[in-house]
Amino acid sequence: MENKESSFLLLTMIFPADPPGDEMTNILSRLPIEDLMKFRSVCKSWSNLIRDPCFINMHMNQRSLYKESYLIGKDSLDVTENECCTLYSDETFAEHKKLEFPLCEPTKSFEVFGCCNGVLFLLYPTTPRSSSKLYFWNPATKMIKNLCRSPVQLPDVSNHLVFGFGYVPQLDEYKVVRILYHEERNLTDPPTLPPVVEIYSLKTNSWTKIEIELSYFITSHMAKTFLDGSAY
Amino acid sequence: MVKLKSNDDKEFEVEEAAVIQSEMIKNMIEDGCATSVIPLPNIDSKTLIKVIEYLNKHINMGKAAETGEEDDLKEFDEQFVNMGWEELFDVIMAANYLNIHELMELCCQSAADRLKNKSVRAVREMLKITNDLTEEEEQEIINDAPWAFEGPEIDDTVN
Repeated sequence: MENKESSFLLLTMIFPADPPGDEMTNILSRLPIEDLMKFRSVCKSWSNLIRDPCFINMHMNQRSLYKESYLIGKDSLDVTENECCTLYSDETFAEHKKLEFPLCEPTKSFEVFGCCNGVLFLLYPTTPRSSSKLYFWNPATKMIKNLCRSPVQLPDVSNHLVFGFGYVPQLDEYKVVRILYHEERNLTDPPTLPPVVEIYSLKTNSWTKIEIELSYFITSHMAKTFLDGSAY
Repeated sequence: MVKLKSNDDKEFEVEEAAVIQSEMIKNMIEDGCATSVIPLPNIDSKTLIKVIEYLNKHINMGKAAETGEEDDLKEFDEQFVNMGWEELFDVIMAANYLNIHELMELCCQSAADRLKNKSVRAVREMLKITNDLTEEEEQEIINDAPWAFEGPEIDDTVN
């Protein structure tokens, strides 16, 4: 009897609720993110489906939803106001939507290092540097995630820090690469000390140091582009 | 001509050029499995009539662009999806089973458009879904994104 009960429990854990059929999945994948956030509370099977990575991918590839792409601009003219961003149509540059940064505090600013699949990778607040933290921000779901700190401390002496951010589809994983040079950037000469290169993984929320020879400076710490699985 | 049989034993004759828009039937014909009547145990006659109406209208999709009948086709599609929720869902199930890509696209988009901006309560009622979440689970989802549950655009009507 006990055995029967436990195997039944196991089954209900594996199949917590019948997934909606192909048809319902197809229909839901066409809805805007606002509706999906809300419809997670319709029933268990919808809730599970909408969180499912396969469904999220299907939704991101839904052409009927994403006919347009947008440019994101940071409005920082008035630092006393809540810092926010504006989405602009990439064809007409017309204002599409205002976005409010969830952590905003007066006089504090953030700096965006990269963007991919609608997720921004940023540093906040930019000053003082000692209290700066790294975040992933998805303006569509209004969710924000604080990345754990790298175990490699920033030296007090002059240094140069570079980030790259991207999505690895094979692993369904968001990653950050951090390169720490122990000297100021130099446009002509290679670094005299080997830089420390680390990779952050969102799934494990951890940093891993990687051994790689980097005999040149990546000078710009901004203006990063992510395309076809590589950060440039 | 190809003969299709619905699950309530009604037979329909459809031109081959129309019926091969269904990938499933096209494969059956190519494999030589469609010699007499093709039984469709998942589709009732009412739904099958709708599907055949669509297939006949879309028979010359490629030609429509040349002859300027695109607008006509667009108008037909708009009229076509103007049906009750249950009827629409039956056509979607049939389109998925028969693998008719364009029909699936048309009907799923129409269904999605009807769900857009609806309240959770309205969706449950429209689709006859029983809420099996506990109160705590539901509250957790709401707390996760309270902004999604408020706003003047949310439509609580059922239709």
